[in-house]
Amino acid sequence: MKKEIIGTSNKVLEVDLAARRFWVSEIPVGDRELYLGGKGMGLKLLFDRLKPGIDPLGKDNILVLTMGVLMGTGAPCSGRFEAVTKSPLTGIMVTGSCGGPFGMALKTSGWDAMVIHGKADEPVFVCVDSGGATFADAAGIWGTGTAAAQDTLLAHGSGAMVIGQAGENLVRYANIRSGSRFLGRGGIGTVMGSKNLKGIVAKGREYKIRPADKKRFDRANKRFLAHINNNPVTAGSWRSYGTNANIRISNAAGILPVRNFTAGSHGQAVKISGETMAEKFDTRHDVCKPCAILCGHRGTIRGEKRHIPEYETVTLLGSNLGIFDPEIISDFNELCAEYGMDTISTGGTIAWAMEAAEKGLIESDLRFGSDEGIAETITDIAFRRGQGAMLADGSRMASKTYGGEDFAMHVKGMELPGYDPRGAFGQGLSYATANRGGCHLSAYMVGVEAMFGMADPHALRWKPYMVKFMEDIFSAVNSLHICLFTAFAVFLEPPLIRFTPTFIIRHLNQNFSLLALNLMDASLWPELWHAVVGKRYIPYLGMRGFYKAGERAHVLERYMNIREGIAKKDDTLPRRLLDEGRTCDHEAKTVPLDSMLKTYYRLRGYDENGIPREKTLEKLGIGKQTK
Amino acid sequence: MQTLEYEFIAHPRILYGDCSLEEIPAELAENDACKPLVIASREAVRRKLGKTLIRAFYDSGCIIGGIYDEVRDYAGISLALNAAQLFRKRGCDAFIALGDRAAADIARAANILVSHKTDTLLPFFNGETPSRRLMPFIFVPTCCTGASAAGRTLFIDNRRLHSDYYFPDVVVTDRRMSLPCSARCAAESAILAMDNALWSIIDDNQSPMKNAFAHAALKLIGDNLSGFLKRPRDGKRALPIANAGVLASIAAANARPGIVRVLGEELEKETSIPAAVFIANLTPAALFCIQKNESPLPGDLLLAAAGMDAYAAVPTEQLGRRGAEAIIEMFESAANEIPEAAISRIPAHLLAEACNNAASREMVNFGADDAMAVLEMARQEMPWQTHDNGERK
Ligand code: SF4
Repeated sequence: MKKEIIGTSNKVLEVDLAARRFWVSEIPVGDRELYLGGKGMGLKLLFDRLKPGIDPLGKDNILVLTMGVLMGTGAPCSGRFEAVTKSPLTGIMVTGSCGGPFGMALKTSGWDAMVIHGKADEPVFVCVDSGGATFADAAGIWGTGTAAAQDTLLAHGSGAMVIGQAGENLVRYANIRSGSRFLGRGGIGTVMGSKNLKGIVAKGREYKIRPADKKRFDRANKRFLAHINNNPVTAGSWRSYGTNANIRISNAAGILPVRNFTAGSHGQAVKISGETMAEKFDTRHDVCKPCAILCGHRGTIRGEKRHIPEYETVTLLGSNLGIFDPEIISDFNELCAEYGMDTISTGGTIAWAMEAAEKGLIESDLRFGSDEGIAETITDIAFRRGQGAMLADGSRMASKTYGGEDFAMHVKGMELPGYDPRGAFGQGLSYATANRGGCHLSAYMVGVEAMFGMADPHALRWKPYMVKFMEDIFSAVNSLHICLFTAFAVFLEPPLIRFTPTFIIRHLNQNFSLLALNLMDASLWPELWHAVVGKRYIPYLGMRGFYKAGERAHVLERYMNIREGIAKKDDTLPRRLLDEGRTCDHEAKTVPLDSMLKTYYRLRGYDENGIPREKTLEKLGIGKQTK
Repeated sequence: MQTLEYEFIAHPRILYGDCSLEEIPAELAENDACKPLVIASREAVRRKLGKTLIRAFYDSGCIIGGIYDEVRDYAGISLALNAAQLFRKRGCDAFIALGDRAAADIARAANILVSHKTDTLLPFFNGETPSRRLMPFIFVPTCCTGASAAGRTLFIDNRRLHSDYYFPDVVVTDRRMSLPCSARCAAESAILAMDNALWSIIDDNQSPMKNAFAHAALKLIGDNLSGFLKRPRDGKRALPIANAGVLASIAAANARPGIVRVLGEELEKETSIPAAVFIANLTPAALFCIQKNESPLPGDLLLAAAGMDAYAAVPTEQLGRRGAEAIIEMFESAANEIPEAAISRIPAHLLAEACNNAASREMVNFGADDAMAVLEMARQEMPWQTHDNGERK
């Protein structure tokens, strides 16, 4: 019979690649309560270990992998793990979430987190089981793509995470593959490459995870599942068409990036929509496990079974390059998957190169609207060949050397995802303040503003409040750690929201935002967490505590970034979004960032330079040692 | 008799005064032009400086072909292409840049495009230099920081192109054109001008003309800096500082770029903190490094910074050191208005990268180690920041 873990094991496996040894440490009980798990816990583990100012590609960088408390309990969409490190793309902290099987394998090997120190002399991979870690020579798989490497590693366990050639060649936005899912952003794969670490495989299936209060957990979980299955997004459009269900919505709302963010919609967008792809490629589900939303899909493309590119890939390697052929976009996606490269940063950097070539800053045949040379460029980037070497450092570094900073579409060095904030001002603020750089998942304001029409996309009033609120919630959900897409069900299904007409919600949000936000019922998430760890859940107070844990993780990450030199000067947007109107707008619109930023800092408890005040840190208990 | 060989180019004619704008039509006529395109910063247009400029053209026989007002703080090729397109469409024959460094650089870049009948600067980025005189170019700085852009460098899209053809033909500093600035902006402009003047005096090319320009700049700054820092919004006080900026940038255009400026610019690239902040903090360290290497600082420094009386009262062997002290004092009075550049908080790999990039820049005569030594020194207390009685200044 399998051994059991009740709630969480709180055991951390720490490995030193240089010395090829491991040791075990514990997550303090206090930290579990303050930081929940996943992202929050990852940040805390890193904060306690990482020296500020180190080179992210040097031996002193540390990679932390953490699991959520719900993983292994059978809660829907809970099979996700988090990685936290210092990003070689942005030079600040980066956190990433992935739904691949590695997380489950590590957790059911008995570990709640894994911390990787040092740099191996030679390429290695690490095998983990409940007894600890062993180190194996990876020379035979060094230089292989992610699919082949993963297959090799899976001979040693039930879940693996690997890098491809991009990570090995230190492309600054290399990612990590686990199953058919990716730890996408900020070059977490590059950090593995810099440590000569090709992959990690965990044996898994050694422990059974059981919630401490099974009865309460089952009750909450049933409600959770019902919400997911009732919601028209989670059980409707996303289940049928995946994230690409957003393409037509974004196009109609004028937030679809087209030709390096020079337009917000395009007449051919329908060709790359989820609806079109579902019909054309006869799609089936291909998802993280366990999942009840089922947003991932695979289909038959060019006679092969392929994963359907997600919304961000379709926009950044498609519409933003002026390409509207889903088969071609899928080709690019497959290449990036094989080399292990973030599709958002790859697309954003190529779009910069196209515009730079058009304007005579660099010599290149890349042109908007033409797929010629793109596949070769992706390969060149992965192997750092020719012009690819320059693009492998991302659009920020390329534009610092070759110019075109005004159209390098990144925030803090991380390329922007597929939503143009000139069509949703709150999204603009959340891009600017997102801790890891150009990230849509920090607050996902487009959901509130453009998709569900719950706030006027161009109004400024209350936007800083909404952004802060969403950031805290999303940070807490990522700490829980469960898929962010469950937010549609958790937020929209409670009766108060479900039966209130949208125009009233919009009116409340826009005029009485504080009240409206406080009426939101997100209690399902904290209820689940309390049931798993066996703590008493007090309605309302439990939810406030959950928000506060999210706020704590967010401010801790900000504080760690401040130690790396981040300040107000970095909380900004690409010049194009601040200065230039778009071809699709009736009247030129730009993001009025400054007016929102000041209020946001005040709400967050930062000073006018964006630095958390002592009082704020104290209030959140950041920096205190817990037992 | 000893003969002194030197080269000095001071192409721009400097017009300075309360109503110097009205001289522009005459200057244009002298350059066979009568329909300039004005490249203006958004701030200048918002403050209605464009209108003042138009009024100065009243009944002069010249007309303004158009005002291109999209310029903000970044000089990029996109704007230069738009400006060149407008220039052609309106049939203009000269450029007036109204604003700061970015406006001047956009005007220079657009000028190359129209003068060479091309739509790309790529050959120039690859090392080509203009083969002929460009269209007449008049620069009207609207803040004293911009005045430092009167030299022979075109800085566009983070690339530096150098040519004598990039000098403006005329620089006009007019009191009506100076935008009210903050104490920090005032300090930064003074620091940039002082840095230009200082390093052109230290440069090994000892051209007396260049030194005369640098001395005049330092004198203007010395006489006006404290008043300007107290009342930075006062246009009357801004004018001499702007003029010093112009003179210093012409002097600097005839010298090698100084280590502090280059390092400051590279650190700005790495950290997004303005170069002036680093310059203010690194200058004392750089001067100390020079002395430590036993390369004497020119005695002229004291003459320029403290005047004839102080110069005459100091024994010859102490001139360099006392000159450096006087200059550092000037830098420190400006540096009080800007934040400290906590160099110790910048990640070491970024500092190393900035040093390498600085050492690989064109025309510099220092290595990455020298740059690193300056940074190291900046973290320590320098002996000459201490009075003889041991008290910190
Ligand atoms: S909804 Fe999509 S991303 Fe979330 S867990 Fe399910 S398959 Fe994965």
